[in-house]
Amino acid sequence: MRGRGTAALTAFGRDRASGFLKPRVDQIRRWDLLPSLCLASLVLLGVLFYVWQHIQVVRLGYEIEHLQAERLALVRQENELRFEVARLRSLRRVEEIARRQLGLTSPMPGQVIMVE
Amino acid sequence: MKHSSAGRGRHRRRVILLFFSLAAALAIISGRLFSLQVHQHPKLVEAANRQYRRLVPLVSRRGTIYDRNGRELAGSLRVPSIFAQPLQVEDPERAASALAGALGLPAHKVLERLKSDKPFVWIKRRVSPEEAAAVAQLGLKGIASIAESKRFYPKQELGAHLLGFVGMDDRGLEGLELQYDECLAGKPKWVVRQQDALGRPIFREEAGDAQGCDLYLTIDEVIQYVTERELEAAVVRSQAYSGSALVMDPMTGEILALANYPSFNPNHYAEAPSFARRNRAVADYYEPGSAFKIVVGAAALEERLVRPEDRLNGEGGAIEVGGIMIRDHERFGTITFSEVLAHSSNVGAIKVGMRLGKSLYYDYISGFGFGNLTGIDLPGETPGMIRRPRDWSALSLASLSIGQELSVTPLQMLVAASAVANGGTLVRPYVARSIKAADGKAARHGSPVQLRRVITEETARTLTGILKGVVTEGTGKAAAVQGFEVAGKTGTSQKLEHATGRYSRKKVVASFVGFLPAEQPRLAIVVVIDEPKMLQWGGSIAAPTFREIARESLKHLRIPPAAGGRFRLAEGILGAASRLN
Repeated sequence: MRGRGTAALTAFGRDRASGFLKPRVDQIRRWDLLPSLCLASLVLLGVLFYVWQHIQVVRLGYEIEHLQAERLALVRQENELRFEVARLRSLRRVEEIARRQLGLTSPMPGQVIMVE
Repeated sequence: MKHSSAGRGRHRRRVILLFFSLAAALAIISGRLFSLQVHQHPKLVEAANRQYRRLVPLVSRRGTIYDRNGRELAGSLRVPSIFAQPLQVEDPERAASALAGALGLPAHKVLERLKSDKPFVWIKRRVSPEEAAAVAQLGLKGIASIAESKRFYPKQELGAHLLGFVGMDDRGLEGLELQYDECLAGKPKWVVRQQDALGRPIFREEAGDAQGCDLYLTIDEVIQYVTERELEAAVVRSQAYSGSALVMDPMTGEILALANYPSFNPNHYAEAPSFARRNRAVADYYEPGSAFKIVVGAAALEERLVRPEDRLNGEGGAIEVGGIMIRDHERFGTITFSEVLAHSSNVGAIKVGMRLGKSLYYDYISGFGFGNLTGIDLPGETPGMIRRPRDWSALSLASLSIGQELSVTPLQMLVAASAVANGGTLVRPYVARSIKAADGKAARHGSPVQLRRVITEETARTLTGILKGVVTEGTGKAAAVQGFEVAGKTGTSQKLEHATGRYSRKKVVASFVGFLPAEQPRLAIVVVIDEPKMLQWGGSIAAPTFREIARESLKHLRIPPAAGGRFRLAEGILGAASRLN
């Protein structure tokens, strides 16, 4: 049974069965897979980079939007304060304080000296 | 062997089947991809853009108005406005009660709005930050706030007639706000916004034009304030109906101040009566009376029909023209032409007017700009009224010689006096000095415009000398400013009563128009007081007001007094020092 089986092996089968060829076949398969693996890794890296980049852009977008809103609020506040200062500097108000609270008066013509 | 071959065949079939299955799946996916990416691409892109891109309209900020020194006179702020979406409000009664308390509104009116079948209703617009915070704290569903632009006039009444005001839609309704509305308002601004699934903005790309331009005026805040203060004091002191005053640089036509009394606060313009909002300085006209003798004098001097020293018979203070007796305010004998103007003799002015004749005098009246718009960049200006010589009666030439039978605006009188002050050239008055676009670049500069020469420099110089006499020894003594030479003319004209068609015995318009320093004029000022019940003469109410405005304005502009004036000042200081010692 054993001899019949051996005799029945083809030349190719004999080669395959031989211990000498087996490691070489595995080696060839590994080398065959490597480029595919590298390619897949590169594609994966590319995809990951693209996703990371996209997430970063969106995150920065939120951050910019937040900062812009903050800036806008500060600009509005600055504008409000500017007008508050303008209101407080109203000459009618200043004169009223000067006359009523501080007791100041307008200088008479003889009290003004023009320095040239 | 057989078994192995059958197994291989089966395996092979399976592989083939798997291949075709995968190929079919790939074909289906490819087909679907083709359909989505190529066939339906435009439609899907549009749908996606609708979901995550939004075109948001923004209210562009209305430009700021500054005085000539960059002080804010009008500006816009973003303030919250409270609105409701009635369909989303769960308990309108409770919401109305809470909102009424927070916003100080009648509850029934709020409830009426909340029960509206409209998708959007305003509850209260342009509320204070405190009110907006109180509403937010209520946490009512269907109630929210949105930012709107609100116009503020930080100096309140200052320059109210000049600045005007804007309506609820932020569009100019009066004054410079109306005149430069298109520029100040800017164009609608749109923002393209990308948003996530929750509607939160991720990016925004700005498009469209920026905010409205800023306006820099020729007005000086200090001179404007002084003019308003002194005008108000004069109107109150004389118990007058109203008053107007203008200050201008006679060389350039730059308006430094424009005031009317009564006035109003443009922050609350709706509360002011319409007569208080009227810009009388350019929109109302009056008979100038004796102040118009400047024009008859200029014309007669220019035509060499009279010289300052020429003597005229005062006819004892009365002259009959066309069957009507015209009287002087006092009896004059023989007086020089200079004295005619200094003491404001009607008889003398009529005699000079007669020498001119209708046609020539009309040409000078028109030449000085009467009957035409001055061209100032303010809305509502009136040209006044002057009839053509063919429509004049036998009395008209005499009446026009003393400033009757024609109507002028205070601004026209000021422009005419400025022509004498600057050596004989009529200038166009203007208020907007420059317009700056939102990017900070000056879009336009207002510049002096010389319209035409109306008299020669020599005539202007001679007339200035005569007008100085009005202040030193004539009817305008109260206009004298210590340390400066003042040239000007008083005017007191009776008002025409439309009901009777006759001149009123009680109602008058008192005015003074002049300029200083007389030899090198920096300021031209006109003061018009309408219907004073006390101090009814131009020399007793308008002239002192002129003096106060001039004195404060010169001090503010740091214009030193003439040499003689300095000496007098020094004497005053020495006197004060000796008293202290």
